[in-house]
Amino acid sequence: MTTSSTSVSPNAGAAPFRLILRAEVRRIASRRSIRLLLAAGVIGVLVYSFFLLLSHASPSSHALAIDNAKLRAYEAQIRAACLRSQPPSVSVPAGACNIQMPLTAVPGVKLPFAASAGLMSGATVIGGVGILLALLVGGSYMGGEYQSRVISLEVALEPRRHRVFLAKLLVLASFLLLMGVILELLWLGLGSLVASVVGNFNGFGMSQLGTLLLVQARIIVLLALVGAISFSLTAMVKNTAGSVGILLVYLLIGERIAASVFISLSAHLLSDSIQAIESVSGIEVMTSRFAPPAIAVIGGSSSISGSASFAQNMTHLSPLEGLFTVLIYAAILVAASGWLFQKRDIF
Amino acid sequence: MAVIELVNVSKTFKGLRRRRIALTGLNLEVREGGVHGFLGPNGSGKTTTIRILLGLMHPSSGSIKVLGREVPKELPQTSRDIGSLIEAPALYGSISAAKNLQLTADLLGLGKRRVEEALDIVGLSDRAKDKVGTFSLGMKQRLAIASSLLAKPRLLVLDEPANGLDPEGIVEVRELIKGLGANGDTTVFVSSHQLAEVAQMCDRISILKGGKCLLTTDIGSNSASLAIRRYRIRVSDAPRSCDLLSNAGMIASLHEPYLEVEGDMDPSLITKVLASSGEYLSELTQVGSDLEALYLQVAGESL
Ligand SMILES: Nc1ncnc2c1ncn2[C@@H]1O[C@H](COP(=O)(O)OP(=O)(O)OP(=O)(O)O)[C@@H](O)[C@H]1O
Ligand SMILES: [Mg+2]
Repeated sequence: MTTSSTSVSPNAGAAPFRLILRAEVRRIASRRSIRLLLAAGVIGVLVYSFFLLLSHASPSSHALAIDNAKLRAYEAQIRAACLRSQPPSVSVPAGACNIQMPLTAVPGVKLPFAASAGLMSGATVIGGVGILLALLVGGSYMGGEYQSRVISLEVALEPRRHRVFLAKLLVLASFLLLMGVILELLWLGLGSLVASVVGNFNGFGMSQLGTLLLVQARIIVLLALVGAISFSLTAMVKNTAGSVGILLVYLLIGERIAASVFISLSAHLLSDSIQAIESVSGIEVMTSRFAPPAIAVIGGSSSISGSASFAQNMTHLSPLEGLFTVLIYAAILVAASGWLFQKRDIF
Repeated sequence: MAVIELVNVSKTFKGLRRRRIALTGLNLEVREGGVHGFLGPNGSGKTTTIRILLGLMHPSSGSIKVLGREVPKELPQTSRDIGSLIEAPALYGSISAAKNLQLTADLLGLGKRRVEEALDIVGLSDRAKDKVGTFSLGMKQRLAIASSLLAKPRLLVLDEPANGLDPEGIVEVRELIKGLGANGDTTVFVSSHQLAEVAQMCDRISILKGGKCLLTTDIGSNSASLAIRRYRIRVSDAPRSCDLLSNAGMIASLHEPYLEVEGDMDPSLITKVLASSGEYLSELTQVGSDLEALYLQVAGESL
């Protein structure tokens, strides 16, 4: 039989990836900062719905008649003022001062919450909040591992670092997909509640519901991609605040500057793509194209006539194109970060 | 079998402005069983060596074997046989002690039972449910040791485990390490600043300085040899006193104007022997243990 020095310990051999994944699931679930961020998202949806509940009303026909009477009076006031201000020499065309005002122009009047428009805009608002949360979750997930130095413990137990990286990335993406589903479903429920209490479902049929669900699904995928971008950058910088700061500055300012230097980028900006994903059928973006000066060759010597200019034109950016762009950004960052994680010293 | 084998290992950190050489041709061999101390002044490269052993840092050159496997290539096959604690404990402050250990245990496929056992070994069972953020530094250190013990590792690598512990804690950790080394299943490789600690718990030591291993030596398993103390005394007639003490069975040597005496005797014995022959001490100072002398001689500076 084997001697003690060559005996195989029960621990020997590689840990199956399944084990690492399961451990990682427990890890993310036990991280306080991540639980807090999820809670903040849920509370955000609740507060938003509550705000809508307060700012809309489904008035009774009697109240509506009173409001409309107020509106008529208001319009009459404006018409009188308008007619008075016209110089007497000019003959005023009939109806020139008939100004139609919306009901909201009357102070204190609340409109019903229309599901047909409100549910979609709410999904987008929640998508915006979700993106910020995904950024923070992705960053603090990896940043926390460096800050607590637990990452060295993990890599010591699983020296195949790509498995550690991959497990974290997969678990993070799943978590963010789940977070997106929770937030958007919660909104669907609460938004419908708001519409049934202080609004209506006029013009909101199956096809509108289908469009809404599609946009929500795209937003949910977007959250996972944004989280992966933030995660990867944090793994490179080894610091949450640093990487989230870099990302925000890039999204808000840096990208425009980058696009003015690398013209071909201007149709593929991260911020535009995010907006396109959150829209129903895409957005129009302004793309500048560098127009070189015309060069005329006159009698063997070339002369430059005119100067270089930027030709500006609008390009349509569809939601799928947006999703593709964000996917490319995420893939590049994940690859670069994973490679560095494998190669560099941990600390 | 050697559980750790470093041959000609070098590590250079390439910073933006300058390169820093941490290890230069380090050779080290740690035999299986017992406790092996890793001594060296600040910045001598102890932590760097340990990080390289665990695959957390890549060496610039040299070859490394841990538990007979090549590092980093074959490390995955044996990484779960190695328990480690590097410099400061790596723990989440916002969750409980037991949960922290469970997260590591999950990676090893170990259950709640083993977590409880590990907490018990380091005497933290009654604080298992408390958040680690509320722990004292010493408690965190003990928890990190518990974490390193979870897998019942064949090799335990501890980087300054007594860091931040009070005298009682130091004794506890020392006894724990001695016990682990003595039971034969685990080899403990422990770095330390505390010379006295190392003397009391190690079977062998290596002394590191400037990224090189200067010496590896046995220091006796029961460390009786380390109980030997060295005294410097001043008397009016040093040569005569030297003879008197030698005749009384002590190891005395003449270092004019002083006399040095070595042995595990009580200093009052020196006074008694000399006084009975009419020699009176004007000074008696303990100048250190053997190990300290060895260390100072080799490393050339105090810890
Ligand atoms: N990540 C790093 N980047 C650059 N230099 C480093 C890095 N880690 C260690 N060093 C340098 O390597 C040398 C050895 O450091 P190391 O931490 O290994 O010493 P040590 O023996 O553990 O010291 P101490 O007793 O203070 O813990 C030092 O000069 C240190 O500055
Ligand atoms: Mg150190």
